Amino acid sequence: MKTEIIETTIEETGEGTIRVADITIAQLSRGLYRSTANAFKELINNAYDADATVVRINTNFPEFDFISCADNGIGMPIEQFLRYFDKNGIGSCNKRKHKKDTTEKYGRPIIGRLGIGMLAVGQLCNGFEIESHYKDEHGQGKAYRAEIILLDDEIPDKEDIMRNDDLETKEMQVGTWKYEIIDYDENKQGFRIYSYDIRTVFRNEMKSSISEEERKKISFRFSKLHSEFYGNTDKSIRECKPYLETIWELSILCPLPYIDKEEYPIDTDFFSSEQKNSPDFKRAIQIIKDRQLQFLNENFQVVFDGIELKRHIQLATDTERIYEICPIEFNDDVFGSRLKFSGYLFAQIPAAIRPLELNGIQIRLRGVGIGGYDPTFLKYYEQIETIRSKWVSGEIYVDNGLESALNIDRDSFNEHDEHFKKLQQHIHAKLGVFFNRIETKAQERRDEKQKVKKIEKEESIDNIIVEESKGKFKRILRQDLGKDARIVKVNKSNGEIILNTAAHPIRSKTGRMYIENIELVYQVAKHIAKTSEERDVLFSKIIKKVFDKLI
Amino acid sequence: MIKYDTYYEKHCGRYYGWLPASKEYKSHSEKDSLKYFTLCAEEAIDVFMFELEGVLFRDEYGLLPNVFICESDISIADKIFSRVRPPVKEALIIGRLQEILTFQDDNDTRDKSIDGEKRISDSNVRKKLYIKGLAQRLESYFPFDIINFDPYGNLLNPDDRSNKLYQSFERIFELQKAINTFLLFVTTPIIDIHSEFKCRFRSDFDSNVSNYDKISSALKSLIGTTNYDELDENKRISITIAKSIVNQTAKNKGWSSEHKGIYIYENIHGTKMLTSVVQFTQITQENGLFIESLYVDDIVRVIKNMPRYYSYEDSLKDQEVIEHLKRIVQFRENSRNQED
Repeated sequence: MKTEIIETTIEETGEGTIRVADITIAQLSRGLYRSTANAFKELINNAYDADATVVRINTNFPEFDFISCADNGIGMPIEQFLRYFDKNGIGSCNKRKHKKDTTEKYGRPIIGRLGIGMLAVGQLCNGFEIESHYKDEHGQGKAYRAEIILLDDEIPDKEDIMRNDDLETKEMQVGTWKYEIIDYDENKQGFRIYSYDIRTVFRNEMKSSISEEERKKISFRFSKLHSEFYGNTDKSIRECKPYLETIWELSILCPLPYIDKEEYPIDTDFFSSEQKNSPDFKRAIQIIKDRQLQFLNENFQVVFDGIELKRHIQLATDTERIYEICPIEFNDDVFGSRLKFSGYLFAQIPAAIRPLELNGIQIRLRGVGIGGYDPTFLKYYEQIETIRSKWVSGEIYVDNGLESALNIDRDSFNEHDEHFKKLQQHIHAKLGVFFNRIETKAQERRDEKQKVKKIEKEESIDNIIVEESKGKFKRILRQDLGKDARIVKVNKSNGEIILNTAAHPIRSKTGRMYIENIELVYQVAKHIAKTSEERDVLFSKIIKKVFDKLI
Repeated sequence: MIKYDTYYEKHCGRYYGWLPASKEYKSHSEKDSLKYFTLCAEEAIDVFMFELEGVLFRDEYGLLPNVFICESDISIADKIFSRVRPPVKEALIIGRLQEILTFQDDNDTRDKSIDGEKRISDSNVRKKLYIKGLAQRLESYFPFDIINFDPYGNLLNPDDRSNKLYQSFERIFELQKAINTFLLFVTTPIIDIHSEFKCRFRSDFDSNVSNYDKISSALKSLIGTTNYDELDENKRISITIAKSIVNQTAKNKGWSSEHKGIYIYENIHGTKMLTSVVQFTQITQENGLFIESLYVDDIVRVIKNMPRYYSYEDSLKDQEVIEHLKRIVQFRENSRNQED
């Protein structure tokens, strides 16, 4: 039954039906999010916008028969609840009142716009209850409890909508709701949403991902969680299976600080002093530090099944690699509105970023990750097929603009939006330069490696000669003998076997290497052996050793 | 709202009753760690007390694998989850114990489960199936070595026919059948006692006096009267709860009772609470012959030694209890810090 509600008078109890103007929008109540983490993310965003300092999500691991999300924010007033459910319908809420873009208490950039976040939980359950304890504009404590039941069966499938013209304009009932006013409890200040009516698909997926051994391993310790992501994952977070993958995604997407106060995703110890003095390095690191400070100051905690989440981004951990970093900054008007963003690009040469979910670029709008890391770098086609693109990870924080490009699932962008185009263009320009830098570094590294390898080979051949001749001979390289002189010359008196490096018996470098070494070994065997049989045996033995080192 | 970290009057019952009985039980048991079921508050004092005192042990993964917790209030369940993090082998059971333990299949739920293939469109049926799922899960965890029946609610109100709490108390004895002996802590307010219980207490008391000389003699020699109305209030409630609630229910379900202690305490709001510590043993062919004498002995034990009463003021003077509770709180906080 629908109840007429007068704006200023709130009844002690009330109930009604939830109306949605467009049948397609009705699909929202079934969930429109790509993953479980994205659905939870919406609830977390709501808590963030409500100036909560902590939001706790509980999935009742490992049974997953109950979920709850409770925050200690300003709560949702009953008037807002009714506007949402009784009057204007889902998606009608305007969180940014009086053009205010930030929250009152902590000055956080407000994430939500439409007010559909609450229904995100519909992806995980068939119905839910909410309880809100809040202070009204006069500072008086108020509270209510409400029950929302989603009527899945009433919503036609997308297929039906496409085929049936009549359905398109029909106002849809997607669920029922009722509320009751309850006593305000200061200890419950904030907003909580909970459900025992869990969708079987969600429950089964989560349950099946936890074996007894894995349950023990997780053990609800933050430190263990981190090592789970980095120590036990060879390639992808997917190896962790849906439950941990959800935690990972949430930790990456939510507006949270990096894993540790003092540690940033990039360990600067791995950079050379020359790099550290470069303006690019300094600026990129400063951007990261500023962002970390911003998140720390926002004083926002997300606790998922007892684990406090942090952003598990850990890059640069191996001394064997070369690292590169560069800043990205943009601040200008684009089609009459401000677009401002900053971030960094990071590369490790020559190794793919692991876990591979960190490969690519992540756009963070108002602190929140939109989608995961995009390995196509916003469709950067020029280099995307090359191996080098696997070496790069980056984050872009958008402070102004781009919101109109955001799709309703807040997981992707409308790629035809002007701001998005500009962002894409700017990043691609930076990527062009950055990939060239990486290529140069990679080439330098390859050359250096080859040089070292060559020296190592030469040294090992010298050692073989000395060892096999029992110290009688040693190899000497000479460049000054001329190309017509013999390749190998033996000076018995001083024990020198001279290798004429100027001689070029054939064009091929590899062929020359074989000829030089066969000749060299033959001369050693000949001068050590007393008989021709002994010479043949010795030659065979030494040449095997030499080729073993060379090839 | 009660703050359990400084609820010293309640801790008197834990410290003098639950703890020594549990240690004694453990010393006679061959198990390394006991299996414990609790309806603890968010502070989880009982859980951490037993861990601190070596009754319960964490495993190599930092879990308390033999601890099972049931909580109906989600905001509290969430706090238990993060505080105890979760020590339990399985997840917390989030629901009202009385609803779970008294669940019975009906036409809506028979041959169905919440995990079934077919989607249930009626939300009320889904709710029932959720409770059914919890009931099946909780039942699978039985039997326990120690059950801490300390529910939110009054065991003595309303009358026993519509009193689900009382029915769930009865159900425990049925579900414990796979164990020979166990320890039960029963805590209830002793105010607002339903008239039906009051009548029963009186008639049971009188029949005890007339049927058992040993009980009658004990009353005369130790208290000086066999008149129900002349008994001290605390003594009267202790004897009658032991007789009419605990021993009677246990006997009906095939268990003999041995009261280890009864503690009455008064909280800051003046509410009187009673906690009984009782060890039950299954009645077998062997001890069944002595069931009457075991019963009489237990009631005499109650008359003789119980209850111990702690007023709010008394508990604030008991330094031993205060220090012990502080130590538990400290231990719990240290455990959390180590985890972090």
